Amino acid sequence: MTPHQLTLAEAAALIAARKLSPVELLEDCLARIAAVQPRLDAFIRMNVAEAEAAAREAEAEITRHGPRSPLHGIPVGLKDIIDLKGHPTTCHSKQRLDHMADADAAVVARLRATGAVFPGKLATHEFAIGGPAFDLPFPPARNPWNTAHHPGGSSSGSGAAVAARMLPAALGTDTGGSVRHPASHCGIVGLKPTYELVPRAGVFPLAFSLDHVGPLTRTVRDAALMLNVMADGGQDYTRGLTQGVRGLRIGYVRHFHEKDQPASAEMAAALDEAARLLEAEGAMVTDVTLPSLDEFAAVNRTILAAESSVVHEEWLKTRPQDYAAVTRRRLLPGMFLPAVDYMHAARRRTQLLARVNEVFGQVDLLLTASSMEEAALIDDEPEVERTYPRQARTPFNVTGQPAITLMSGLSAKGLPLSLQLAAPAHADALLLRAAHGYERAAPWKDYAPPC
Amino acid sequence: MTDEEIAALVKAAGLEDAAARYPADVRAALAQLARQRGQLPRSGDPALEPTPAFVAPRA
Repeated sequence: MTPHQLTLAEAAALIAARKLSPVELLEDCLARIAAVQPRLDAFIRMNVAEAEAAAREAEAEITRHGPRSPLHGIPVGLKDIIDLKGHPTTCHSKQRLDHMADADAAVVARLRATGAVFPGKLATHEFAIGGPAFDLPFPPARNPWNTAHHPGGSSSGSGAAVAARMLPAALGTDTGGSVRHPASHCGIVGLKPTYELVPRAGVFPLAFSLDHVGPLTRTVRDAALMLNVMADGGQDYTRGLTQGVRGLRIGYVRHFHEKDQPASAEMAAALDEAARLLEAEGAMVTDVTLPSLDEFAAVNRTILAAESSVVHEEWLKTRPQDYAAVTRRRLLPGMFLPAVDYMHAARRRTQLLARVNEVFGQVDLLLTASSMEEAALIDDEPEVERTYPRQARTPFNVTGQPAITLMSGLSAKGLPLSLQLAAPAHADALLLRAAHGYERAAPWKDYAPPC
Repeated sequence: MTDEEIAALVKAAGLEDAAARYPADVRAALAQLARQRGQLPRSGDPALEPTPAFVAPRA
């Protein structure tokens, strides 16, 4: 196995044992990036010289004193709405081509302090709200399982890069599912932690009360290692990871994908199979009922429209031509939204949270769909528009509760299928434990895209 | 929605330039908003307060 194929945990173990140097790991990742970037467009800017200097520094320090943390010398990609000191944060937009970050985002500073290395900035849907677009300064990222398909978004480059083994880990952001969507379509792990568990300072906002920063990795253990550094509180999220799902009560929200937004037969069958697998591993799986996906979506959409308007008002007024058409179309409705609608959505949000918490009084975790079908063709705009909202991720942006997506199979076309687990607020460790239990029992962890 | 009504809303939002350049996008935005407003649940309870959902107790 060459270094770029290692998971974060595997690379960290070899670095700690002095069997792999951070320089060797970075150089192999850079070679992998050079080989597949022309097909995937996952990166929009490289940061090679600075990353190589950081890797050399890490190597010297590890040789003298051992690693500072499991992330010491590990290359981590950054979605380009996250500030990296001395580099532009373009948000994949013409509006921000001349921007320069004068400090690291808080989460980047935490990663840097533990020794992570940053080889480049990754593609995103413009301002984390558009869709795959071909009228921007940078091309859209593509799906490594089949480059004719989109990789999900908005953390599109993060999903593509990690799945294609360009990097062991990347950061994304999630306002309506934007970490979990690319993870779902790229067959990797996407974690949206509890709201405010990971600081958002230095991350370009989309909607303040819905925005989350989360890791995209190839394994649940790697997500836990990333969260150890990214989160407030100093908790070790790898502790208890291997306890499995025995004895856990899991509520299966079947109506999300059977009634509210009917999923493809393949996706539905994979979810049922996952429920059976969790039961076979010792979990107690029962059907539960939540408010409909339409209600969660209406609340998320209204809050997102109102909060994003305050960020984009000036540009929409003075430079509307500097957005991609799809971004402009998604942002404009918020400019006409009555304040009373925002308050109605906020009031309904309170009731939705109360209802989900009531269900969490009966079960420890929820099992739901993530996407309702596999990724559409990237240049089939009507199909992209139809399928993007068909998902069950927004409920947990509305409630702020942690949620994680994992691969649950492959479709007949060879594209990843997915599932989602969710937990009560601040039960991120329990969520990771259950996800690890599923991952360990399922056969998908070592599946890799053909690119 | 009439052209006059659209013009009034555009002026109130300060989007005259966007409406001049992209009239179809502005019309689509207003139509989309009208559809979506109908889907938003509205409570008649005057005492219901919008507690921020993210102020959740730590487990």
